[in-house]
Amino acid sequence: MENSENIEGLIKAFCADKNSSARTTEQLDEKILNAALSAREEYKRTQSAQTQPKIWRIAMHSKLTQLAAAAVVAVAVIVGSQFLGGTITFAQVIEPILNARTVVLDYVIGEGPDALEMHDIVIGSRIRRTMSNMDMTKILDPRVRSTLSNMDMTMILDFEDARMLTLVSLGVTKIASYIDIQGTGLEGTRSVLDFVRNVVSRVKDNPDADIQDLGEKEINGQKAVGFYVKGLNVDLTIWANKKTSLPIRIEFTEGKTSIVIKNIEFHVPLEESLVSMEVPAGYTLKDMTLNIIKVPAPHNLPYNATEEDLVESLRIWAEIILDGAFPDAIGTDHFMKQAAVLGYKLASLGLPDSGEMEQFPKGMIFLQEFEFGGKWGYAGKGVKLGDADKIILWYQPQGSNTYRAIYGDLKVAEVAEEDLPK
Amino acid sequence: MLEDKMLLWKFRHGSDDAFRHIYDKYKNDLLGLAIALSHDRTAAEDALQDVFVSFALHADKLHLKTSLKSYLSTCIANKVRDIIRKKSIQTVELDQAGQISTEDDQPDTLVMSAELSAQVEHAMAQLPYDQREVIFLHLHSGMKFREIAESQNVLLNTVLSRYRYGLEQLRSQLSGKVESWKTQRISKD
Repeated sequence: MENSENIEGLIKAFCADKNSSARTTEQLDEKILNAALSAREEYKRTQSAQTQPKIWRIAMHSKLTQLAAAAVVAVAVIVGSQFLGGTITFAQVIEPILNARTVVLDYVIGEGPDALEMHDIVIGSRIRRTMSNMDMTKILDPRVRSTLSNMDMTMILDFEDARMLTLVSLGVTKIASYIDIQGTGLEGTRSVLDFVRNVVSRVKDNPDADIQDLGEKEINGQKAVGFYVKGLNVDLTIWANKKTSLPIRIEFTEGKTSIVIKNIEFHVPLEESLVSMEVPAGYTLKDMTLNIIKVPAPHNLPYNATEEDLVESLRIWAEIILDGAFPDAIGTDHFMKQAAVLGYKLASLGLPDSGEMEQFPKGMIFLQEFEFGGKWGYAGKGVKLGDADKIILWYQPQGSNTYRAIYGDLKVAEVAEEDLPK
Repeated sequence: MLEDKMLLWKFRHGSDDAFRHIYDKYKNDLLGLAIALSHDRTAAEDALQDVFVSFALHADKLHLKTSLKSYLSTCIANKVRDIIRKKSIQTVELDQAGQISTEDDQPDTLVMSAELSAQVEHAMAQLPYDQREVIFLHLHSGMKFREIAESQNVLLNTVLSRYRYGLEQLRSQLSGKVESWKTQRISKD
């Protein structure tokens, strides 16, 4: 009597045997392809043009918006973790930064007309955050672009309870979800203002701090005085209203990314309800967890992004978002702006909740470990996925003399500095 | 798997080339599966055409829970089942089954002898269709039992039972053939 394994082996060999002899003919191929593609053509003619908006209904119920929200959480990781850092005027300028309980501000990540903008209303330890200027250039269908532009997304971050409430609405569809930001999310996520607070408090307490007076200039019709504050990894420029001494604009660059905080208003009377963590009327609460912030139960540990995560995110970027090409530039702001495009494409693929949605920002989180202050470079512009000869990204791990280089075929190797792209 | 999803996405967005790519990638595997299940090349070709026409029509609404290959393999199995039901194709006799090959057959490419292949084919042809289907979907198309259960809308235990009973029947019919096959392989190597 044969055992099961042997019988299975025999049947597999039989299948392979039969498969090697099962070949379609050219005539059959032509017949089937013509029949299928003609049927498809006829089908398309009879379909209404209403299919695309459905994609967004799928996306609305998916992790797309939560992904974007998570990206917002993650972006704040960049600020506040890297920096290790007067005159009475400077002290006056930084006083509200350090002590104001309510602040309204806009901040812009990146440069140029399509830079990503966020708008924060800060009340105590909570922030109400909205985003604008998401990159929709890759979404070619004007109806979808128009639909997306009508989608509102608001995040309310509660740093005391380490939770985030996301509110997404598109027409009559309104979805709310809570996201746990304990761990990496909480450690890294702070308002951008907290980052500035961190910088100025270190400067304030450091008698050798390098503070330069930049003189006066007009900003948005206001006479402003400026200070340049030199930190260990970050140089900060603060402009304050000359009359009130209240900061109105803060600029800094981390790594290759510039961040501008503008339209700042301190001590604004604000309704506490703006940062309520209650689900507003009309919203449907949808359970959502994101493992980019935390390893799921039962472990409940902070998630540590790895080099493999970055490689996988690059693959998703090239393979799904850009149809086989690597992006022209890479960085947190680029990652964030591509989140909606990725969501759209995955929703189109019928995979609104696929693993790619959560994988994509993991690469961004790893990138942030060296993006701001570390030695790294990117040369993926014009490189196609699979190009084994071209280095697209390299970075120097802490304590290493060599670089880790990621090639166009996504293999990773140790490379000496002189062998990196110029 | 991701490549398939991209191809599917491109096809949905108007790329006929993407459809051709999918067809070229799986046509022979699927034809092989259809032949194995139906023992009828003409029926197998009909099944292949019906499956790809249906796939072209419904690609927009398709939500893949498994791989595209698994999905198409399941479609083939379902289509062959329909064809068998409609045409009342029953199991074929050994001499007829042995003729299911094409002019491309090259003896030196075969893993097993024509005689052993015919004996296995005959044994497979004696199995109830449900059991044959599970065995081929698992061993030919590489589908997991859970995928088969979901695609056939039956319980996992039902699929496992069909597989186990099918193998037991094959084992009793092919007693001694495995050793013969192994010997062939060794001498061939």
